[in-house]
Amino acid sequence: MHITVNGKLFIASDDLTIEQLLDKHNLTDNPLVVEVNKVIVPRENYGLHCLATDDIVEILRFVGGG
Amino acid sequence: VAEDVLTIAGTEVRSRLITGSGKYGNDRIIKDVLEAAECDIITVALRRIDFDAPDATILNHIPKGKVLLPNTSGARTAEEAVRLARLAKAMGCGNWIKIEVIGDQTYLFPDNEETVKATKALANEGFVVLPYMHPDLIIARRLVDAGAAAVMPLAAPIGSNQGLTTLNMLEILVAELDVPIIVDAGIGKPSHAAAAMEIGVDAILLNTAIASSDDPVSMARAFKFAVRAGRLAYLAGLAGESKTARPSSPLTGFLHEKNEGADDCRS
Repeated sequence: MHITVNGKLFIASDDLTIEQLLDKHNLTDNPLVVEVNKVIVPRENYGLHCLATDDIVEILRFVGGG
Repeated sequence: VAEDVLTIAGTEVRSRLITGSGKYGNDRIIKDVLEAAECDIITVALRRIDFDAPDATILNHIPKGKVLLPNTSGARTAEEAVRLARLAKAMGCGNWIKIEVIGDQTYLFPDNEETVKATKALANEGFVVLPYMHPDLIIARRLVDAGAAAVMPLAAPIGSNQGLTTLNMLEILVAELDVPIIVDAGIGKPSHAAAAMEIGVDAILLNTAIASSDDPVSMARAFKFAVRAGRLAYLAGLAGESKTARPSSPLTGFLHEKNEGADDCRS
């Protein structure tokens, strides 16, 4: 299936969970927030939430800013 | 003398200097800057994670106990600001938000109308809302009615270091508003910060003037003293101005004065 993560198209295996996606990018322990199709996914659901084809995923974190 | 404490949405803030965390060549310096500035509140931004540098998080450089004030930079509409604010809250670092809805890319001026809309929506959701705004009294009142915990009028365009180009408008806000007024953007020198505090604004938010200095830690200390000096001067009450000189020394007893009459000093 195809998913878009942070504006980039990814080919992913079916039923990929958010937890698996984060794990693939070594992001498991990072302070971040995940949004799927403009809906925020609570941290405790990362292991349960399976992504579907054409999902638009945003993974954000805090950076320096004024 | 009672302690001079700034209260924003029920939170007591000891320092009237708020600093941003952007534009540092190396984020490791931020901890020293915060210590030198002795500030309690620091702003951050929310951006997509960099897969090539996943560990780069600003939170590692901000000591615990500081109030984190995420901004909604990047938002062009109220809707985008609300989305960013909710994402920021989901980071689990509190419910304060600096609303920043930019309506012009050359001057980075805030879109006051969209800012009012976003303030209303987010205040209703329980956020502590601090909107960045163009210093217009009518908009400021609308922001207060919408639930803003403070207003953050600009002194000059973001990062321009031009100083208090909006001074007269800021004075009007000071005279008319009951919520804290935090001058945000455009402060370039400690003297600008002191001058703003002297007219009675409640706090200063700045980033570029410290981060782009050759020695950010020393500049942070300079701004700390400037903000304190301006605040003390405001509380003390500035002496009035006049067109002509008003002598500081007595106008009697000069050497060239001739005294009339004669006293008999024979014993």
